[in-house]
Amino acid sequence: MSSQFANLQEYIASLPPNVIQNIYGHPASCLAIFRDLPVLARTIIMRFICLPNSETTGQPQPISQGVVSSWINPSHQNTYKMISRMLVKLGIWNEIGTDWQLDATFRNNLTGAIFGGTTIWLDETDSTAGPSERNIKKLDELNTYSSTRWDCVLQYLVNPDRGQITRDTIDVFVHAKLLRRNEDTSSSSTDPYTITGSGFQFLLMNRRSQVWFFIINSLETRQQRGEDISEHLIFLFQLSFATFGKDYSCEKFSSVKENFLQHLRELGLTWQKTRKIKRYFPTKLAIELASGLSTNGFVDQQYGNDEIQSGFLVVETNYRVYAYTNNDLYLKIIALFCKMLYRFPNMSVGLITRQSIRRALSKEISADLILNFLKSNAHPQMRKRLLENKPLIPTTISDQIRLWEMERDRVVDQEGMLYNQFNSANDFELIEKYAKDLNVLLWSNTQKRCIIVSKAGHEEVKRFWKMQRPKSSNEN
Amino acid sequence: MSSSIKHLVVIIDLNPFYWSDKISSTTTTLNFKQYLKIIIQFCNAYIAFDINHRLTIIGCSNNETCFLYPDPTNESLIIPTVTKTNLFEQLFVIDRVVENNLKEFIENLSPQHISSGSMITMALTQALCYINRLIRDTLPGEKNSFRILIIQTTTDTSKQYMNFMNAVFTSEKINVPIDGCILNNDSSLLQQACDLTSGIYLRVPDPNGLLQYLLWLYLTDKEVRKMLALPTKVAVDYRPACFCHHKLIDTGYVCSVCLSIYCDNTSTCSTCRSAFDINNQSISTSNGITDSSRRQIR
Repeated sequence: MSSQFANLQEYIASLPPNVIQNIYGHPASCLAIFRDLPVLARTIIMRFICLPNSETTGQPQPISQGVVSSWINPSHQNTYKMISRMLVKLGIWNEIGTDWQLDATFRNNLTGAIFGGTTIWLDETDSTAGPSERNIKKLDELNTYSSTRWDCVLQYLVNPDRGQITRDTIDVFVHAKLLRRNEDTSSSSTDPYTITGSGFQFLLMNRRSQVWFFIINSLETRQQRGEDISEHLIFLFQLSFATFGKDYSCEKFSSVKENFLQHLRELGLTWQKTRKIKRYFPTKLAIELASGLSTNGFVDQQYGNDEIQSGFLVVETNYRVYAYTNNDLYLKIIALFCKMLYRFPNMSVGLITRQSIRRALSKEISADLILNFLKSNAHPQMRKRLLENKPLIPTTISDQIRLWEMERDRVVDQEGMLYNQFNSANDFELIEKYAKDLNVLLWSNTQKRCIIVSKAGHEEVKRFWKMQRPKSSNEN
Repeated sequence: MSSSIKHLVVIIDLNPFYWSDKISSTTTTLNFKQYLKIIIQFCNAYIAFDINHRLTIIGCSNNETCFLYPDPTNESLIIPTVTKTNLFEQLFVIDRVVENNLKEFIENLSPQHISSGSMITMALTQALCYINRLIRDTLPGEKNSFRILIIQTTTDTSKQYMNFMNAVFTSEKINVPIDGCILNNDSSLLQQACDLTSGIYLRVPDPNGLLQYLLWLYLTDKEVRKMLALPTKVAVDYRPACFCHHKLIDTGYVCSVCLSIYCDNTSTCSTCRSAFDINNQSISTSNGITDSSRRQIR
């Protein structure tokens, strides 16, 4: 599941063309997609934007492909080719003869977003009223609100009878295959769902990736239900460019959009005092959604300031893990790969053992995932190691966890064919040599006169043996 | 995601003298208002270009400098009033802040102290101090990069030579490239600064296309520039200014102790106070090439 739409443009490219065209209709989505492109692509688009629209047609001016490629250093032409393919796939570039032309709506809305245009970005109706003092939420309150909401959603995954979430969210979990419906409902267990391997993986992802993964799946669920997701996408992009701590009006929202807003409210992406008050505050989770998308979902992530502060884990070279938290959810996640030793009012101690790691690996949790979890939640004290140019997680620990993972792959099976009961050593050597030359020999033993040939090479060796047989004795 | 923050410090030349000359000459070229608009547009584009882009704008006139952005106090006043905007909200706020500060700065320009050069050096030093502070605040594990862009309209003042070059060498030392863009005649100081710090220098041939030039070359940093075909470097004018009269010179006298440059022979070095042997002067006047203290400066 890690490979599924690791970044925004892959996801956009997978959408049907009419949805793509729809979302280009708003400056926010154009800017969000633009920002997610590789830097070279952005540079090229910026140069396209420099040119005014053609006077005769009112369309963006096409530029010949030769000219565009001459902008790029000869050593990076491959990157350029990759980029042009990507831009065509996203519908940003159109190929007209030997020219490239920027999509007209995309160009207009992107320039609008940057330099000011005709499409209205914000639609504030009751500007005069302003938020009344009562409805204003403090910034740190918003942060705690969003993290408790999101924890609550995660809690459900670990412990379905604890977290309270709506039907919508469960649907998304099931769609994303994080939860599996229990087959025999007659059994004594009351919860109808169990967590899958991907579910465990999901828990160990960093928060941003979790939200991204969840939202993508949520949109897919809605798409299956027949909703037009372009409206939702535009709304999400708008949210991601909103100012933290400012409230926005949702008075003009359609019922579908309103429903989506309530869904986001449940996840902790937006805050609203009550359904009646038609103003909402976007939280950090929503704002970071499009702006903080990691281009690489799992490998080597760098973290924003807020996450550095929230770190609570200390890992020592003696395999002990100290978690300075009271959060049950985090302790549950740590218990997935640690043997928990002690629990104190504000701190818990766990031990990383071969057994505990193997248990985690058997639940489809990879070593990388564990290490990333340790890294992303590292205590500020741990982060000081970086100043001394040491890796965040002690090398002993990271190597050992990787070794334990590799241990599981010690045995490799390959299909093969056994040749034995050779009459003479001569026959044996002949076949052994022939198989070796063909590079199909898997194993041989001179004492027992046994040869194992891979399945692919069997036919060839058999044919060779049949040709040789008349000359030598008559045994296979 | 690589969260390395890329800071750009833009130093804009707001010298009123340059623009006052413009009004009298032709009406077809860029005027001051358009110039400011273009700079704000470029700043918008820079911020919109990448999430990790951060911007600082320093304005400088003939005798003053001013931080135009960021300005947190002004910003907090503007945010709640944003109701309807046709562009990205954050940019809208930035534009208003810059506009307010610009207005204030220009209105408070003192008309006395007549000198046609701008305080580019002062602004550059401020920029470097600011960058230094940001470097010190860097959290462990973060890899931030910094860059300075100087948009100059006036001609160089060789008076600032020594301070300017000192700032340039500092900038080279802390690995901050300086990009230069000049609307006037070629500036040898700026050229040297860009060359030494491996930035891009450009003399804008047509001021009406300023925005295009800025967007074309100055949005991206070193890493992306490697991938692009850029204008070839022209020969850099490496003439220094002498320490005594601040004139740009080809050939001069160099103090053998502190390397100060003089356009004329003096008895003592004004920088390090070492006394020169006057007796040697007879040799230098007879044969200038073999003279030890007089050499070609490059």
